[in-house]
Amino acid sequence: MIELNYAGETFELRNEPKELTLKEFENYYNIVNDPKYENRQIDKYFKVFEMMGVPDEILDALDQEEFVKLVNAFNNYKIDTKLKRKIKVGKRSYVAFEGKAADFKFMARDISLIERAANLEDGHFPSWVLAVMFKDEELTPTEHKDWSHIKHKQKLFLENLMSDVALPYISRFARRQVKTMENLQKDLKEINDGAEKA
Amino acid sequence: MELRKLNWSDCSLVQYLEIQDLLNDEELTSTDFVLEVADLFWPLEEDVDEDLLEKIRSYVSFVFKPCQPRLKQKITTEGREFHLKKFSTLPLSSFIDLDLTLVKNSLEECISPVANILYEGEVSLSTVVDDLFVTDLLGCVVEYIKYRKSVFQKYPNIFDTGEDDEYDDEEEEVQEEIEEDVDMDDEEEIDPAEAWMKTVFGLAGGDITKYPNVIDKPHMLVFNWVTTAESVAAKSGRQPSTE
Repeated sequence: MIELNYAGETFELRNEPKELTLKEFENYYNIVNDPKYENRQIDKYFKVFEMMGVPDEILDALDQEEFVKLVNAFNNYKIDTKLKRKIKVGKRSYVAFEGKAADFKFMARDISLIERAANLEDGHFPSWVLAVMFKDEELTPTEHKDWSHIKHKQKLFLENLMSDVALPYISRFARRQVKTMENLQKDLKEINDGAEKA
Repeated sequence: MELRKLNWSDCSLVQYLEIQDLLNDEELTSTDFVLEVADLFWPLEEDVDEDLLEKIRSYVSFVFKPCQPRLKQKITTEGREFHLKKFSTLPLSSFIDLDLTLVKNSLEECISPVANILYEGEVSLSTVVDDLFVTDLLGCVVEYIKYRKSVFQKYPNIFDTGEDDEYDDEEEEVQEEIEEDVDMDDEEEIDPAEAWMKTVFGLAGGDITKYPNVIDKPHMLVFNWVTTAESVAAKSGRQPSTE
């Protein structure tokens, strides 16, 4: 949480994952990854702060140095890398894995569903990840994989969860994808080198 | 089959064709693709974790490299042998069948029917072809395609397309330019089957009782005969007779 003081009043700018709703986090995520802001960093963060409800009077009063300091402070949050195993929304419980978090591994079917969600490019990737990972304890494996059920969970989690649940999974998934791409590049290079020799 | 790094030489024709379909399926995610290919070789009953998935992905990465065909004079399977026929002794009927198959189908669709014509054994190759290694089958197809090309280059006039005009190189260039401007969709496409029928009709002198005489003969004998007849007729200044 960052406290911004102006004209005797204090505005609390939430920036820690546990302070941001999943919806706010997705909005933030979409703004910072929007290609139209690639060369417009200041503009990008004005958009972020407006989205977070920072009053115009406060933003207008910042000079460039103060603005940059605010951006750095906003992005200086800790991500708890510990994966949450179980969550409760309403009366139902949802579980992501059994056993210890230290032994957690993504399963192929979940990876496939997350990739399918990523291909939608609808700006809701974080909530889709949670919808795939967290499974209703009372349902069967077949029901877990049903896309309309996953879609229902995505909307439910978006409205009811904080972003600290999603961040460790997104971070972990991103690392996995990067590693897979590196291995694939290596394999393709071997193939091409072999073809050239032939 | 044990979990290990695979190559095209491990693939049967059926597996090869399935993989081609998967490669063309734009709906599949990358993980779905890996799982579908893996399922062709190691039926995966349970879900796999990310570490095993990564190994499997590496094991099936062969699908991204070209399939190297290898020509086999003899294929042995289930105690049966199939021998590759000598291309130049194929009867005209087989040459025509092969030509029509290659012209009308994609490479994948050609593999089975072409191999079935080119290999002979106690039983038809078609009874076992789906389980044969695709590299062996592709070997005969690729080799035959080269042979067919050489035949058409050697005997350019054997195929009666019904077109009367013959162009020299410069005229042909002009004709091609004209054809680019003209809407070619309206032009009637030449049906290869019909063109072959005309060719055989001409060779049999229009006499249907002579049809087996023509199509059962080795194609090279027929083409040499036609070429010789044309050459003789040209020298004597009259139409060649092929009766």
